[in-house]
Amino acid sequence: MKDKSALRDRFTKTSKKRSQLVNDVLNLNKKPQLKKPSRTEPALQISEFNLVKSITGTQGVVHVNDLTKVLKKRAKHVEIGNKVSKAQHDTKTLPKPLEKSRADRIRRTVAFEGVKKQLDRWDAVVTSNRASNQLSFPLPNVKLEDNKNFTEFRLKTDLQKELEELEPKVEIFNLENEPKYSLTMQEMIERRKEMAKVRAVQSYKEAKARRQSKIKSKKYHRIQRREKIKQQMKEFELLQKTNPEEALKKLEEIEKVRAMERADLRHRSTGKWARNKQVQAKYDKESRQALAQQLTLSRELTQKLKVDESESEPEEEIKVDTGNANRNNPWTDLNKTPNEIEEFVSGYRKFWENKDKEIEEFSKDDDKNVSSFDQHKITNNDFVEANINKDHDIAEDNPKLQIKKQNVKEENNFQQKKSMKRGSKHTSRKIKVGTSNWEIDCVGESGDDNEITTRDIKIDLKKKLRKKYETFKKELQQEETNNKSKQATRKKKLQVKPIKNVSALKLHVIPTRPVVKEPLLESYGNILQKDKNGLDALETILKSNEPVTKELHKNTANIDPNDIAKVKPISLNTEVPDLLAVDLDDEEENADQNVDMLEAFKDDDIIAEFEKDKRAEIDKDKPKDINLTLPGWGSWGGTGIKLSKRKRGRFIVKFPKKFKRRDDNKGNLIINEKANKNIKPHMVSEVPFPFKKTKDFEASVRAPIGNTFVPETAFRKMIRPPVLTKMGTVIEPMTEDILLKKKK
Amino acid sequence: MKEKMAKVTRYFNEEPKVKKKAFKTKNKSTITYKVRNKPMRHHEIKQVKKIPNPAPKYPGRAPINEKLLEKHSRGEGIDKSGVRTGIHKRKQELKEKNFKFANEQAARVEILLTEGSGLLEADAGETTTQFTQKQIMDNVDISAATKHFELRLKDFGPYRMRYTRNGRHLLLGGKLGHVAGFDWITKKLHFEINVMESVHDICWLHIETMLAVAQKNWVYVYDNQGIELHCLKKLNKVSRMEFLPYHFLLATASDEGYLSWLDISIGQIVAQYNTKLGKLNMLTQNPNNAVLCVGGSKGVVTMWAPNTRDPLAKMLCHKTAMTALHVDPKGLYMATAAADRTLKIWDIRKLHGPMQVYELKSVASNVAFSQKNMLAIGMGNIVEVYKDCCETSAERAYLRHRLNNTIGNFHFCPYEDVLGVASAHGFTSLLVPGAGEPNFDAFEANPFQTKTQRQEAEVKALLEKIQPDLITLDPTKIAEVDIPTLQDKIEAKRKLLFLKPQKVSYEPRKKAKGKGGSVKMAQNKKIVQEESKREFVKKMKKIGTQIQKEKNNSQNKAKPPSVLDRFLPKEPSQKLKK
Repeated sequence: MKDKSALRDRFTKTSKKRSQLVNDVLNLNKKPQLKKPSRTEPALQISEFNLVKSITGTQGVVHVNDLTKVLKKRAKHVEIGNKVSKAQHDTKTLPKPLEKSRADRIRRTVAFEGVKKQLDRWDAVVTSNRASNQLSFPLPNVKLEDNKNFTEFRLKTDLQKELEELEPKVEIFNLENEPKYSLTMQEMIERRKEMAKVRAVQSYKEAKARRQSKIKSKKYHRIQRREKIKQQMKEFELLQKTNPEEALKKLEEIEKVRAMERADLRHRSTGKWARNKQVQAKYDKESRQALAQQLTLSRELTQKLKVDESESEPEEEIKVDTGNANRNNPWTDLNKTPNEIEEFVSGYRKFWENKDKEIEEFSKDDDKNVSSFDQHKITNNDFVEANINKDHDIAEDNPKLQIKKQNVKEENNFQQKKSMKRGSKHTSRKIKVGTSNWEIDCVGESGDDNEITTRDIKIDLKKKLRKKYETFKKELQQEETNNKSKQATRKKKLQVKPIKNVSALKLHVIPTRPVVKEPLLESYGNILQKDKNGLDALETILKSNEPVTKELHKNTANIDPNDIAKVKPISLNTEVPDLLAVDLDDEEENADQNVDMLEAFKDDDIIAEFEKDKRAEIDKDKPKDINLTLPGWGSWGGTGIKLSKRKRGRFIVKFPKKFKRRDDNKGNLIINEKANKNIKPHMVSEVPFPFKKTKDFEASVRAPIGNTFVPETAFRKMIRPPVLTKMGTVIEPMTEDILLKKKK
Repeated sequence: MKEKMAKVTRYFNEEPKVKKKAFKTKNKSTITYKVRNKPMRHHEIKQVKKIPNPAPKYPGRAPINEKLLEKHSRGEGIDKSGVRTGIHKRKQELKEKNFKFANEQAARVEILLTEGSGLLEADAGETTTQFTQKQIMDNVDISAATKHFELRLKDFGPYRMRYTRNGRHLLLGGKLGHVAGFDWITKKLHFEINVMESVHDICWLHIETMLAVAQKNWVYVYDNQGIELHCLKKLNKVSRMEFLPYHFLLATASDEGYLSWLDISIGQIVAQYNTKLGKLNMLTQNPNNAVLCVGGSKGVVTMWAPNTRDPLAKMLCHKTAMTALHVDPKGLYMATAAADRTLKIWDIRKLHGPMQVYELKSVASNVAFSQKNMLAIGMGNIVEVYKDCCETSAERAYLRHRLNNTIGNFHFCPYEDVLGVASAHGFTSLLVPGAGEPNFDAFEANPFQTKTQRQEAEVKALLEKIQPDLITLDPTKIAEVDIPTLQDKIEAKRKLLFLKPQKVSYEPRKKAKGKGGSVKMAQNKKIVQEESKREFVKKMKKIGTQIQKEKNNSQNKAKPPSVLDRFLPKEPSQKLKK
């Protein structure tokens, strides 16, 4: 308004000055324009910079219509004029080409799809070849053209030769001359069609992209975003099945995006909707509630979803955790009294009031000074931010007080903004960018309920993802560690010395503090050995999927050898020998004489001894708890130190007491469980690639292949070489002839 | 003369007319062959023209007997859903197809096993027990009748005997130093020597040209000429010997309680240790898994492998001292006899039993299984053979033979219906119809082996030699995946507690003058070492916490007590308290 009045005042002054001013004003929100070329002298060279502005279709300075107007004066030229105007009416100016990067992308996608289609044709052939048991090269020639390839060479008989000599020689003409062009007419047409198709697809895509970029609807974008998330979910699920490692990476990426989002969610109630609500809040209870809800929601969003670690960690540690919670964070600190909060908030408010005052002072001389716009812009932004910060506290504090004060400021703020809008579009937009960049704003316009539901969906998705992530991570743990260990060994340029003697690691008697010591070895061969005893190996053993609980079972009691379901003895009517067995080593007396004595003493000794043996064996295999207590550690020293029960319990490493043994419930049997140690290095330690379960792998190696076990014919069949090549022939690569052609 | 001529006839001679006639009688229209001298390629057109049988008994190939299929079956196949990627699924499918073909083929070629095992059948009111060897001999064909014979060797007894794996050759060893080896079917003597020392046991090695004799102090190896090849002084005071053919191990048990395994292909002791069982005078091998079974005076059978110094398994079989044990050639059953006149049959695969308990009239000093699971029991001077005594209980002896002197030892002859009994005053070969396997696998054990076949077989056997490490109770263990047990985990955890960060030997590069002095180099070294140490500690901590987590989880998941728990067997500690 002020600008206009000023203009009127100065209207009387010279036109030159006036035009200067107009230019100035025009230039306020525009880049400095190129000056119109003023024609001076005819010249051969015309600057292309001058041309740009003058020829811009209907918007330009020069219009063809203007020229036709002149033509209308004569009836003779009217027709030409009409033609021109009609032509102008019919033709449309070509749209501005897309940005180069975007156009390139489209071109690439179209090209990619084409190439993909071409390559996909080979899929069937490739898979069949890969899956087949035997391939023979060179590949059989499948090209079957009418009798062309079947000119058989035959040895001529003597008679034929003689006849040939008698007959006059016939010159053979090649009737089918070589084609002039490398392509036939049909092929050329086909190719042209193909090219046209590609171009059409490209143009469709370009048009689509252009259309989409113009869409301003927030709803549309919201839907798109949701679709994107869903798509991501789907992809992730698929990846989880096919490539778990990649899936993990993807998850992490999603996590990262989420973290970024959280970090960026600073502006909560500064959208248009929120501001309106703030204005209304003074009188309307509902709007106040809506605002509060909005804030709580935003807090929820910004909070990191905590994994429930309390389950996995011991209770003591949890207590400590709660005690040491971050004191600077008013949200996380649950121990703060309301008074403290009040104090904190009031102090905060004071600070901002001071700041507001400064800003107001600053804005007074704002309108006069046009050149100080930039500075103003910055301060204004700050101001908005201040409001935002205040909004944080609204829910905590008494909202009424806060809002009242704020309203005053708000009004100020609005005035400023209005003025700015009038002065320059540019700056006002920038402010908007600063404040309403976040989805809180855009959703706010479309209504509250809708907004919450969409957000819920989003949160749900995230939760789902997280859940999956957790389960999935556990599954992957072993694989990961394996990979890690592999990588570690590969990457290690440093030579790590192995623990060499396994026997030193075994603890027969519980030592108070044994330490594994071993000499430094530097040969490469030892790295392999290291794997057996090193940390990685231990880790793999510890992390193997076999759950501990399965092995624990309660019925370890042994059946007494006497209690074995007795088989009814059958007395055989054997002949009594008349000569007694002479022990070949003639050392013992006759066995029969001993029988009565043996029968008298049988059972008791032998069975009891065996039972004792078995118990000892079981005890020997049981792991003993390790006591790591150090008397005096963590308490005041001195004589008569007593270890507290709690401490003692903490420092004893306990092992399960019960084990499943193979000879459980078999009273007359002791099986040495450690006997398999020597065969272990020969066994497969992990389920190899194409198999998922041990059972499947074991099933795949269950049957022998050697000719000592299977019939010769079967043996021959089993050992057929996977690739057969014919000696002395060139093995050509596969040609397209092998593909099945589509009918046209 | 005429015969000789016929023998020399070659293809260039005129063919006999009869043959041509036979050829002509064949209907030419049915099959035509074109002879090719090149191997066929799969894409080439086959030139064999076949016309199907106009009146077939079955629509396709003759079906295979289900029982035979099951007999040769190798177990269930792979569940295809457990295989990743389509290509590998397809590959496994093809593999499975081959296995199935092998199974079917094996079942089909059973038709080629034409020989059936014989049997003694008694008329009504008779029992087979009462048949004497003379009666049997009178009723069998001449070639079989020659298999019953007796050698009276009064001077150097008591004797011990062994057959080779193909059952063709016999080895006799008299206590007083008489050692003789001969082809017992043709009765051709290979050698006969007196080693001028006491002979405690004898054993064939992998071929019939080598044998081991446990003499007074050491084990000697002779060839089939009776020439001493080796004196194995590491095998001291050996009482019993067994040869493990697939491992090329000569296993011996000594008077002092030592077991030793000698690899005869390289001549080295694989393992030798004290069993702490006192004198060992009962030793047999389980042919299924090459584990040695030793009978003891405490009624316990212990099983031994060269890998561990402790027995793989101990089995309390009798309540008194044992007198004899033997494992059947397939490794299914074990027969044990004890001083309390009992004889028990055990399932040695499951280490479970007894399946049968027999009470005898006198103590069995020897037991032996035949290939068809007949059991010979030696008591004093009496040999009794029992049929079908493992799964079903035998009522009476199948055959009985009384010798006129006490038995030393006996073995059934493989692939023959013969029981060879060595006694105090000689050797007797008894006919036991139906004892041996009638069909032999010539690649495995060929009674009609020629010299070149023997040489070939020796080389092949050496190439297929199994390492002594693989001797375990379960021979299929090697085909399993090594999954760490709870014990392994605990052991690992214990190790983890006392694991020290590994030292890093890092030699810093020598840089250009002025870039890195000795101080800098030392610093770098320290940095690298510290870093690796820190990494190690971090990793260790991580594992520790993971274990803790797992433990907690498992504890949480523990089953709640059930009402039915009271019916579970009580724990040993509770039992003791009572």
